Amino acid sequence: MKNKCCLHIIFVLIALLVFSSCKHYPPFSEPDTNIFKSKVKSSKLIDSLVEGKLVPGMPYSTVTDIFKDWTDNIKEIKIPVPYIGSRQRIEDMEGLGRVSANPYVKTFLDIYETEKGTLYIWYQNNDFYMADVFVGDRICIYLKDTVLCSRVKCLRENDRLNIMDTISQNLEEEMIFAEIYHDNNPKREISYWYGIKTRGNSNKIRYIRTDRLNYPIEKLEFDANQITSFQWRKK
Amino acid sequence: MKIQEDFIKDNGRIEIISNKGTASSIPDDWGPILSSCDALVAIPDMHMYIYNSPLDNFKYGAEAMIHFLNYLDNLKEDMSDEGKTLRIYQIGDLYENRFPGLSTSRANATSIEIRMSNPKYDRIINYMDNIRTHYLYGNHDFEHRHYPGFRFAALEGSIYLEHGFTPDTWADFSNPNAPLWEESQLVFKSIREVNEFFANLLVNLGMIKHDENLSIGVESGKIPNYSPPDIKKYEEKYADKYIDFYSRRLMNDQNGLNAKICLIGHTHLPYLNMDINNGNYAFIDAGAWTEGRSDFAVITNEELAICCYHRD
Repeated sequence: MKNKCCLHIIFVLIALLVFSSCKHYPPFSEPDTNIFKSKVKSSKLIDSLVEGKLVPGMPYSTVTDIFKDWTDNIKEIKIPVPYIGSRQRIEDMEGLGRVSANPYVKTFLDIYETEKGTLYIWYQNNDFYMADVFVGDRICIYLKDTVLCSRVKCLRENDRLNIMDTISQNLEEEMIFAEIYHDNNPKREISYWYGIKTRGNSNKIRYIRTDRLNYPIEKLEFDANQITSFQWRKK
Repeated sequence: MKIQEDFIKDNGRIEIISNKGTASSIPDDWGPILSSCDALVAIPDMHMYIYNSPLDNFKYGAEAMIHFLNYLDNLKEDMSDEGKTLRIYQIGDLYENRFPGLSTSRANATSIEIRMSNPKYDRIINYMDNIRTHYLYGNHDFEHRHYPGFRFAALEGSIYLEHGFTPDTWADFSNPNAPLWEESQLVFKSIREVNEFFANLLVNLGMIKHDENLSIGVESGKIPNYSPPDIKKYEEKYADKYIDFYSRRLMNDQNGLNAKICLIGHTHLPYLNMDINNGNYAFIDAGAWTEGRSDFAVITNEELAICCYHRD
């Protein structure tokens, strides 16, 4: 009787140990489509969202929405890395165990352990130099009621460029969405910009870096393979 | 360029707090004190820390900072259209790197994890970069000395800028160049870890709210503080240290800087003295943008002032 009782207790303890070591994967959350459409004007990205796919080019806020309920034991986020595709955390050490990080780091990595494998998401605090914008690239700027498409005339600074055409509308207080088509660039087809600003009657464009929620997703990998999209919603 | 007419204009959130609310005039015989810009703004200590930590006392001033930086951005563009230059400095202790970090090893907080702890903080740093802010490093972000763009001191025309920890002795534990600084920072970080543990415990038990003042020895910053410089208090506390030290440096001019004005932060108390050595020099402490304060200094070729930026 006593032996049976002990065995029973051992069995319960083992069962508890097994269950407590199992990871709980919360469901994916749905981004608000209206909020997404107010920020993102690209039909390609909107279609992907409607289909339940996370794709490069979407703002990082989409990732925070989808993984809203995920806990720290199944994710590691905002890891500073040296370049897109790197998994190496950047961290320096000095003194008595003091750590520091290069404040100029602009590329970050999120890692999510899903039931089916590990998802890696790189996003970047972009600028025109990093995104490899060329003179002559097509740029489409989504103004209030119209889309103005022009070509890059010159790169003035890493966050300023001139376009061939003049924008007549006065848009000083607004942050506008824009797409740049890298026509002659073998490494990149298109880049997305969530903070374009321009003053009225000007051909000068500024890119205003705001915060990480507007950093575009640059690359996705699932386990060791690059993927073009991550399907978060079951079909 | 006049501070009220040309810098503040109709921005009702900027208030001059030095010299009883009036900009102080630069003596004519000092000549143009700015050589490569038309106006200089110095943003003092911010001590940004991990946003949802009960030890962070910058967060209540974050919205005001975003608004201020937006204002500076537009002003800089307007001045640029007129062929004028606005230069912005952040004079050190931008981050609070002396407090515990997020990692399981409990090393100190890094600039990246502080910046990325909340979109507002990331926005502030990006806005500072957008307006080409020049950076000095202080004792709380001393690690930045390794990186280009962060300097110990700067000379803008006749204005010498420095964070201000140089006169501190080893007993102040706030001068990275003094003995025992490394050891003391390790001890203080451990004290902050204990502070944070009990603060979080009290919050989890529901005994206090998350935004209560829980950081030992510093104000939470929840209540704004727009008070003018307390000249008497500053001189009682710091005359022998900061005022004398930097005044002598200006007068001795050993490095041939030919500076007329010394501007520091570090103390978190604003102070302005135009009467150093019988009016030949000026000493400014730009105050702080943390613990409830939102101070900054403005200098043109004609005037200078310490201002505050109201939260609403």
